[in-house]
Amino acid sequence: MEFGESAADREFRIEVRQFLAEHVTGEVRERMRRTGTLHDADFARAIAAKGWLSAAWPARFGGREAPPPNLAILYEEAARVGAPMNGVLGTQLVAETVRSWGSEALCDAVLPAAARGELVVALGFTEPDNGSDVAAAKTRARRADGGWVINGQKMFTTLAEIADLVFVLARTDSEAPKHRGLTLFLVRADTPGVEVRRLASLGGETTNVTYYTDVFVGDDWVVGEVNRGWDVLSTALLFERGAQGSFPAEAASVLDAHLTWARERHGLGLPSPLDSAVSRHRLVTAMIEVEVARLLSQRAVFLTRLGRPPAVEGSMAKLFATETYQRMCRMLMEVSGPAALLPHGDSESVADGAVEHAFRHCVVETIAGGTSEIQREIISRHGLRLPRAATA
Amino acid sequence: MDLTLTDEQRQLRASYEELFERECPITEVRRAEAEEGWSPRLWKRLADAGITELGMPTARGGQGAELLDCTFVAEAAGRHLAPVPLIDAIAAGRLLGRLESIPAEVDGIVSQTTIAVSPEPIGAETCRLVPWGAAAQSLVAYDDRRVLIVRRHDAVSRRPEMSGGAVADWKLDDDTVRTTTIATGSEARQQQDLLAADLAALSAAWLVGLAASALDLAVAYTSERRAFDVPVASFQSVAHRLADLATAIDGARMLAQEAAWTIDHDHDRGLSLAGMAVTFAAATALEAATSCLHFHGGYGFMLEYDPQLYYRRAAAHALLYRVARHTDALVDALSVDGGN
Repeated sequence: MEFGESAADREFRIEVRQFLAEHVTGEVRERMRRTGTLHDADFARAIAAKGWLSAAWPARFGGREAPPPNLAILYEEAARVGAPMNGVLGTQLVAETVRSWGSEALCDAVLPAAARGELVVALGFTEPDNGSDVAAAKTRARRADGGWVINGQKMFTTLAEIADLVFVLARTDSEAPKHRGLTLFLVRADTPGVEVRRLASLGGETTNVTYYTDVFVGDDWVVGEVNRGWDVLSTALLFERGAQGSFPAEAASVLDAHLTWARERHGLGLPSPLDSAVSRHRLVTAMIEVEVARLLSQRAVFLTRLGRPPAVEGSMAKLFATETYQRMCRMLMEVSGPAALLPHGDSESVADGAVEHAFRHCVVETIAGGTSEIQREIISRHGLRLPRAATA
Repeated sequence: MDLTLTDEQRQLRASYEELFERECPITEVRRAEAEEGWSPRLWKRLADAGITELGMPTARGGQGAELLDCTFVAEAAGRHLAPVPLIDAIAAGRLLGRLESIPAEVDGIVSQTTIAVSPEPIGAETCRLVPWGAAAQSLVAYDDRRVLIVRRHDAVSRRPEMSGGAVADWKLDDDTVRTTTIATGSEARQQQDLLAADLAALSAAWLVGLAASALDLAVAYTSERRAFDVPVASFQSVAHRLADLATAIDGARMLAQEAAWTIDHDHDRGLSLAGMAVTFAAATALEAATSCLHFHGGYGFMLEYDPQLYYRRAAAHALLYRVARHTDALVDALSVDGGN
């Protein structure tokens, strides 16, 4: 057991930091703020060109058939600097799922473009009437000649406004039990019948509701077997565990920015949260919790890398890190005074608006990717093996 | 980060757990509380197994264990509420092991006596409310000028306190004590920082053990006990609180282990990590013990049930080992250098 970083990991971290410093420019950030789209085509191509994400893939699909670097470090560092990773992560999730479940033809259609950083895939699991209960999806796919016809709606299809494909979960057998009649499709976003409507969110990030009216999808674009969508989805969600270091990294970066701001003011003799023992105590509590969140997340990443899917440990990491982040954001607002309300660009804002933005943005994290309540169910029923309540 | 335990570490953990399971059943904890406040019998077993000398380097006749490995035994002790000054002896052994030379009169003190550590500086020639002070024949004491080993033949009388331990005051200007100075000046200050860090990391592990044990008790009881025709644990209001606890306990354990590992790898961060670890572990342990008691319903505060044993000890351990001093140090550091 050891808590340090291996030489190879440290080297990779330095390389990643250099890359991010070069490519996450002020201009890229401004564009993200203005559009709410956390994707940047140039950035995506540049990161793809490094070959980190596709390293393990077969050469014929654009990979190098080499052991991949510790990608958790990339996700962590990218979160720390607020890199435009939404598209990169979503596409990577789908690419890895296609690599495990897709046909040769589908791999050919998806992986080389993904390896070049020229493909954006949006995720279409959630619907207006169901969130955490993913398997309750009502979107239907009906058999047609040579493929399927999809009708329904998907909620929070983030990046659909620019995406090439949407990864759509649809019901293909309405007679089968809830989890057995689902199938995953890759739907071209420009297919007739696909309609995208933008939704603005509190954190400034754009998302969408997408409508599907008699959308035809060829058989080649089914991911995995028909009616085994739940198993395919489980692989996809497992991928998210490997990227879990991003939650505490984001929290740590906001805390660091706040402390730098507070220290600077303190040094200049201006009022600062560091003047107050109560505020300092609260900041120390946050420092401790962020470190605990980092450790729990590192454990989930460690288990993922060992090939041991961290179901319970992953839920613990997600739960603790996101709840900590929210508690911390509330505290940072409270200790900073009314200047905490000022946005980025106002010279008197706290840490150039980092705290104000984090306070608005952090709320999504205990909801997306499985709410805190879902995580607590997993921990208590699978981890602690507590008896389950009878469900209706 | 590599969280894989070596085969040796795995065996050590299992053997510690097995030893405490056998030698320190909850009846022994209750007996100790009712009688002398600690368990000389358990202490003898631990000494026979060499565990009290874990922290002493092999060159000085000890086991030379790394602090991380010592956290495993501290956690097992906490899990069984072991009423013995084990983490004190380990920290004292490590302290003596760091010194270039040890005065002959205190050489072998860790193996020959029951040793306690006063976790706050000497005040007015007295070490007050020393955890296990009434069990000890020797004591590590310090202030900002010196680190001392204090010895005495007759036992100091036990001060009644909430957790029923062997707490006592040691007066250093008493004729019956003999004091030996083992470090002075800047070395004394450095050694007491290292001693405090070791004791904090070990305390954190001990509290994690207590918390884990309290959680186990709550899980077992709420899975068994029925209300409204269903197991109590099937209610989400109960299950989700236990899930939060399980998460915090895993995090507290990792932080204690990280602190212990970092201290041994000579990273400056070890000292502040130890303070963070014990601060978090103390809060987690008290929360776990409180929830455990609460989820036992009315039985939780009956003396014949066990939750109250955990509840009192979770609070007492944090207070007696002066966890607030570590938290204060972190808060002070933030005002001076902005933290980190």
